[in-house]
Amino acid sequence: MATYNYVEPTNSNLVCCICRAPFVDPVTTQACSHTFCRGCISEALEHSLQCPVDRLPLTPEDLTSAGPLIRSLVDELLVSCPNNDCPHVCQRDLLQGHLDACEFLIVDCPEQSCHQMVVRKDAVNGACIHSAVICSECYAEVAMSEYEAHSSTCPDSACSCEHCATEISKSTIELHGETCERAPVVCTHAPNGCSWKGERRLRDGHISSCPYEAIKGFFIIHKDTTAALKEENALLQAKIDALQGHLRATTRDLQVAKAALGPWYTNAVNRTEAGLPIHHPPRSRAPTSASLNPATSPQPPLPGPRASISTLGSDAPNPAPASVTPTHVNATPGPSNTSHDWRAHSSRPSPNISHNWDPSSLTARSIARDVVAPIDLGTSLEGSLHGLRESMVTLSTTVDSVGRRSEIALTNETVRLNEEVMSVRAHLHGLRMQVHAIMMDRNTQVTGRVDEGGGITEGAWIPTRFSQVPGQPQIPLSITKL
Amino acid sequence: MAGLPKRIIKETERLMADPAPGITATPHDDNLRYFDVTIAGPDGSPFAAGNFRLELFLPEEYPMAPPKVRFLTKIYHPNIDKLGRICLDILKDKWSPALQIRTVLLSIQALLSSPNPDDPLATDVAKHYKEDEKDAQRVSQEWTQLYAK
Repeated sequence: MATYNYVEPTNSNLVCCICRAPFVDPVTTQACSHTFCRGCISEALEHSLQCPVDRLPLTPEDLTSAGPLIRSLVDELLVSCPNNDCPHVCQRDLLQGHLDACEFLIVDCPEQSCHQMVVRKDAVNGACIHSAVICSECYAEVAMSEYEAHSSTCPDSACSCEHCATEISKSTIELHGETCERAPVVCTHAPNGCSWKGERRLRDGHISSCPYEAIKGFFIIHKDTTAALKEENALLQAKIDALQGHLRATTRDLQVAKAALGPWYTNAVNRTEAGLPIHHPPRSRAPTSASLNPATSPQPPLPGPRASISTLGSDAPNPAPASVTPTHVNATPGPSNTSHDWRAHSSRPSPNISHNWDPSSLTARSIARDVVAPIDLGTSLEGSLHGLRESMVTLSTTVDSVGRRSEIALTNETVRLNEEVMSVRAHLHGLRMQVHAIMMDRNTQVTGRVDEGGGITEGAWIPTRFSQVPGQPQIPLSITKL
Repeated sequence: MAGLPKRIIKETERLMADPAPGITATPHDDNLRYFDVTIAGPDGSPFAAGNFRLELFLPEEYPMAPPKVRFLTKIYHPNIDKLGRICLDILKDKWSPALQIRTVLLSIQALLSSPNPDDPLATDVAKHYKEDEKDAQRVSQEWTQLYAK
């Protein structure tokens, strides 16, 4: 016996340390009293003449059969039959007896010409189960071994109706069930609430007295109405679904638009909530725009650029025809005013002339007041961008004109200064001449007093000094050359 | 190959279900006699914290003949040469059919704890261990950190 299929775990004391299975024909060593299967220890001794457990010298002659106690312990272990499908379980020493009679043992087919294998129980009647047989019901060819399985499912095999006990074939039994007079059925008005149940042959009798039969017409009308309502309902449901889908798409679009608009969106919502028209007069929103855009002048902007920003709305009332006036035209009074100021300033001998040239004092006021339109959150983003762009154009124009203005002013100032310098020089020349005359007069007096030997009094020279002709310088130290 | 002996099946089942501490042994799918083994370096030895890979093969004569075991991870040990072969008596003449895979691997783990330079396989390592054990252990530790991660 090669292997046993033990059905329970074995006590480890009964396990051979070589094959790790319960002893088969156990033998014990005389010297060290170790027990092994006879087959295992014999094979081990062929390799090495020593005990596998303690390596003491060992020869086959030293082996004796194990005691009857061990033998009976291992012989009583339960094993299962090794043949497939055989459920037999028995003590190990009885297994051989079972195998001799096991019905599941594979044997040759009893038919000499057939070379297939069969389990023994199929071979007992001597017939080959592999030969084909004809089904007595459906006349199909079926192998003998499959005949049993076939006959239980053969569509032509007879069976009896469970209601009327008629013998009919299996394949038609379902058909028969629909017409069998004795089959249990319910009233035709069962869907409407009739609870009658009975054999089919009794149903006609019931219907004649069925209370539901009397209002059959109502049921038909009711059914039609219900069907129409259901259809309509389904239609409406579909419509709702479509609308919901549409709403979802719109909401999604709105979200995208919101994300794109950023801060502009909030403003639009406020405006809508306030119930104001989209393009209401810009001046009413001036505080908002000023607070959002602190860089701009707190002054209310001119209607011109504002109106041009909000002209996107076709229904917006055009505030003034002046709205089309180009900003640089608005600014044209600027240069004359400023040049006038400069003239006033320059006429004063101000020591701080450079102050007049400060570009900020020159232009900041006019730009802030005239051309910069604050960002208008009241219009659409596009309109605001358009307005901003317009403001930029205006700004650049203004900067340009301011540049030109200051250039002209510079030139004017230079000319004026030149003139002034010229006049100062002329004055200076006159003064020099006068001083020269005075000096000459004094020189003459001094020289004259020296010449006259002090005959002239101190006060006498004053009336005469202008009548004196300048003479030759007598005392070079006191004469100032101009 | 003929059917796997019941003993090998039983041993494999036990190794997988109830592995010895620090030791794993997994048979190859295509050859149930060939095992991938890992042995954790024993604590307190220069091989601690190392994870050593080995291969184990059960020859046709098993359990009458010993399994063939070899280190795959480089190791600085006087009884293991650079090809990974192990000098262990139970893998050679002291083999007994009463031994099994589990006991063999436990013996190898014990060999890591107590190198035996008097029965060397790698003579240079054994010499190192004999002359300066501290330094040799340091090298073993270095190799463990280097190769046995």
